[in-house]
This record gives sequence, C-alpha cells and structure tokens, in this order.
Amino acid sequence: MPYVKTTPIVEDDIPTASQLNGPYNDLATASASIDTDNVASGAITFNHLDANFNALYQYEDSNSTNLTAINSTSYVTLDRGGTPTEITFGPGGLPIPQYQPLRISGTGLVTNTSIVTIWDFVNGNGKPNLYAFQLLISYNISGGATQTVSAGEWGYSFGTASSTDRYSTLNTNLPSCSIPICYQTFQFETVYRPSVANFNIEKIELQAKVYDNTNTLRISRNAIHAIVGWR
Amino acid sequence: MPYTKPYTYTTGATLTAQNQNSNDEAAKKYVNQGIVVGDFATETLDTEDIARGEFEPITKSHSFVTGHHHGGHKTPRAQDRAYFTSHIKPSLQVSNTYFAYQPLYETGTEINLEYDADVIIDFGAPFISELNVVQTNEWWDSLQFLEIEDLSSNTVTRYGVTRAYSFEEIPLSSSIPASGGSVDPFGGLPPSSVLGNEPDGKYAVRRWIGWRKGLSLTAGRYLIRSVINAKVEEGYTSSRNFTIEILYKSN
Repeated sequence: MPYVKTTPIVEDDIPTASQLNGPYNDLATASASIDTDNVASGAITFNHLDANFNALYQYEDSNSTNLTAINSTSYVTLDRGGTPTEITFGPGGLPIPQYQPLRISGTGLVTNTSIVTIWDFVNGNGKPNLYAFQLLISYNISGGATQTVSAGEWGYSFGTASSTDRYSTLNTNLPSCSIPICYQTFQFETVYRPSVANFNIEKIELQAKVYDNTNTLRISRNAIHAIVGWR
Repeated sequence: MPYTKPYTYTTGATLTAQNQNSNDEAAKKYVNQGIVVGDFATETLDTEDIARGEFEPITKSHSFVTGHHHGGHKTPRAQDRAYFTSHIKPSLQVSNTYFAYQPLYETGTEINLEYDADVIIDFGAPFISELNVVQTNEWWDSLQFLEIEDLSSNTVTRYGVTRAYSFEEIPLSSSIPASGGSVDPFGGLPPSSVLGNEPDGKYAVRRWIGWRKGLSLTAGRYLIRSVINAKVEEGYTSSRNFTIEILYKSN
C-alpha cells in the first residue's frame, strides 16, 4: 500500500462524497496488500514471527554400555537391544519444502573395538583398517513408496596403520604394527536439501560398517540430531 | 484483514461528527495495531526488514530475532590452553571411583533464554594428558562431560551422551604398563605389539573429543561448560571450538 491519496479541500469548498470517501477507500484497498514500502528496515521482531519456525528433532542414547557389536561390511543401523538409533517422523512423514536445508548430524563414542585385520591397503585388498558411518534418510514423494538416500559417509581408522606394511619394523613376527585407537569420539554433520517437491521425510538412521568382517566395531553413547528451519 | 471504513459518505447527506470520527478512529486503530499477516502481499518482506541482531564481544555471542549464537574458539597457542590437574584431589588422584569434575575455562558460557528454546551445543578439542611424574604411569583415563547448571534451581546436570576420555600419554618402551583406568585406550589389545613404533605409541592415545548435545530448555539462565575428572597431574586442551545455538520456540 504505497499511497493513500487525499484531495485538498480549501475554505468555502463543499466536498463531494467521492472526495470524502476517497482516502478511506484507498486505505481499504491498499491495506489488503501491504508491501515492502510500508515496512521499515528492522521492523520485524521475534514477536511478529510465527512460532516454531525452527525445530530440533533428535535421538540420544546416553548409555555407557555397548550397542550391538558391528561386524558387517555393509551398513547396519546402530542398535541397542532392538532399539535403533533413528529419528522417525510419524505416519506419512514430515513435509520438507523443496530445496529447504535440513541439517543432520551424528555423534558418539567408539569403545573397545576388536581388531584382527588392521593393516592398511595391501594389494587391492581394500582398507580393513577403516570403519565408516552413514546417515540414511528414508522418504516418500507425495505419499508414495518409501525410498532411501544417503546423506553422507564418514570414515575412521581402527588403528594407526598408515602404510602397506603389516608388520612391525623391528619385530616382524608380531601380528601388526598398528596401534588400536579405542575410545575415540566421532561427530559429523551435513546439510541435505530435497531436490523435488512433495518430499516427506520418514526416518533418519545412523548406520555403520566395517571394511573387514574379522574386525568388530563397538559403540556406547550415540546420538543423531536433525534441525529444520521452516521457511 | 484490511481496513474497512465504517461510514460511507453520500452526496446530500448531512455529515455528523460521529460519522467522521468513526472512519478516523477505525483508520487509527488499523495502522497502529490492526495489521495482520494476511494484509502483507506474498513474498513482500526482505531479510533487511527483520530486526538486526546484536553482537556482544565480551561473551562472544550474537543475538538474532529467532535466537542466539555463542561461539568460543581458541587457537593451539600455549597461552590459549585450558589446564586441568588431578592435584585438586590429592590422595585420590588416580582413583577409578572418586570423581571431582573441574570446568575447563573458556569452554562454555552463561546463557539467558528469553523464551523456551531448543538448544544445540557443539564441542570439539584435542585433549592432551601429560605423563604423570609422581603418580604411576598407567594410561590413566580422565572422563569428560558437558555440564549445565540451571541458575534458577542451582541444579547441575552432566550428560552421558557427551561422555569421552583423555588418556595419559606414555612413551612406549620395552616396558609396557597395563592400563589402570576404567577403560583401556587399546581396547584390551596388548600395546606390546607396537614395539618398533614408539613415537606412534604416545600419540596413539591422544584423543580428539567432540560431541553434540541437543536440549529443550525453558526460559531462564544457564551455565554451560565442559568438565573433566582429571587423573593426570597436568593436562590441557589448546585449540577448542565451543558453540551454542539457541532456537527460540515460541513467544
């Protein structure tokens, strides 16, 4: 509503009904569509905003004992006695507008890992020294079938091995020169933006895997957080 | 809803003061308090229309319309270290059953929530636990937590989801001590297998400690800090990152 006009009325004029109605009609019309011209910089404060524009969703497991141990070379969801580390968003999922950023993070404490095959890359045998985490998103489009997408992967090392030499430099009969790194924390965050409309997020899971099934990954406390900033 | 004029002027009708005042009163009320969200044209507001936040350089916090952000960042320089010591519990320095948590300075702040809020706290720092000189050398584990004190009730809470350990850094030699703490930095695997990699041994127990904690807090004042139960005579963190994000939920 940029302008509300008034007609100047001078002494001895007899205003017409149209002239008198004019400013009020203009205001009625213009006030149905207030725009930037009517808003001063910095005019909008917290009290003007709709509540719950930001939302934190989380699953936190503060237990000091270990989760179900992981020997799988494909991703499995962290699990404590049948309770997975995941955030669920209810039937049908939570609608996330197209391109709206969704912050997702995982954190936890790796504990007493068991390491059998620890050397680093050798002759194309992969990287048994590594384990990795993944944040897996389950979603549907317009209520359709559930689909999944990885929001990211993050890798860590079981031990300090950094070469192709499995053996100690001084004591070649020892099983490994790599030193186990137990009780180390992990933490990571990513931003996911749905590239399509009608995106409904159903679930976020924290998953992990090892690169050699002779090694065992153990984790105690762990958590995932999701932060949605509504537009 | 938009302004609606109560009285319509008609040619030939006698205008009363009441009629005139009713239109002016309605206009006054509308422009003062009657504008609602629906009156704004779609996508009419820019970010500059939202009130600017304020930066507080003393506490390193920035207030925004929808919350606050606090950031504490320290460099690896020696003068930025936050030290911890087991000397605060002289006869029980390496006890696995007695806990005395000491705050690590500049790993937190006091926050004042004007409204109920979701709070996200992030911490990350390398912890160094030096070799004990008087006490025994046994890869001692110093336990670290996030601790929050609610200043309205003076209740202190440590959160298990931020549990982490810093281990005494023992240079490896032909004599390898057993782990004496509650947890073993090598997970029970004998460190003797690392002979020949002595330099690696010391740094293999150095840990980066990182965590994120989410909270739903009611309006009020809170002290937030990282605390540690030291089992070494001298330990410290140098480079540290500590941020608090406050997302107000309702007004």
